[in-house]
Amino acid sequence: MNNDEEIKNVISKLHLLLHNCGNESWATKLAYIHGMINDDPDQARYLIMTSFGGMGSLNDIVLSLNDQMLVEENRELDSLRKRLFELAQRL
Amino acid sequence: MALCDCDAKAQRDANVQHIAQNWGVSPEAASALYDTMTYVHGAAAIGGAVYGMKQAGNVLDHPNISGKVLGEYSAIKSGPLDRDMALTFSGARYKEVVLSEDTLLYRAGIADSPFGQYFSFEKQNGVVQTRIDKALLPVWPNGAASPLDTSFGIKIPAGTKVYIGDVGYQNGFYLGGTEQIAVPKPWDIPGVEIISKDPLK
Repeated sequence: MNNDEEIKNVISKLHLLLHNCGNESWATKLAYIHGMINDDPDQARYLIMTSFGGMGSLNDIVLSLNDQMLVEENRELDSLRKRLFELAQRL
Repeated sequence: MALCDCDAKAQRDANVQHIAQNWGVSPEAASALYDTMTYVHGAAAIGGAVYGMKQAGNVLDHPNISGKVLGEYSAIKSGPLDRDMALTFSGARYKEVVLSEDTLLYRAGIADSPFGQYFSFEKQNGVVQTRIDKALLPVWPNGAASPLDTSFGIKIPAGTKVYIGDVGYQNGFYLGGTEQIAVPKPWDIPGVEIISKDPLK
């Protein structure tokens, strides 16, 4: 799997996880980036890298339900977004 | 003794190369990071970063937090935070601190999502001020919304390692520049709990 395909694969997994846990805002934006990778990889890389910031960003997200943190879901989220960050740096 | 221009340039080039190697970023990205650090912290701070953890092992001198400094890091001297989190600090410069007592930290978000990995020491009262202080964009550059309606107080237990530094610049007039505290993977920290929820004005 080449870098672009792996990025799309990681974004698809992130999208599904965020959608299933109710974070529609970031799920929608990741779907948008996914659709851009083949046509405009530079812009896709920019959008991915600017998604990583402080409070309110992709790497601020901690999934919860009824004020309880979801442990397994957050471990998966953290692994996927760190992988996305690494891959985007290689684009 | 002041450095001549050629010495200063050589020192700058060496530091930029150091950043590029430590962080695995391009020379252009390393140069931008270096310039940010110079602007925000000044050359003396960069020199301190090159020569290491000047406060390691010391009791933290901070009005809002009781803890021990384990290390001080920057883009030149990379630390324990992964890059995606370290780069959210201005110049990737932060202190690693272990809390000596339970500590109440604050964050802003939406009512049904109280937890996160980034906090501040001060309780947020207003939406606009929070966005300016924490570089919290209403809409991220890629269009993702970052809505705000609630201020949360979250207890972080004693013994937790936290990471403290200035908020990095993000975009437009949302300048950052105030302190943020990163608490990585709070779901793996027993005893993290919501203490307060208050609507933002």
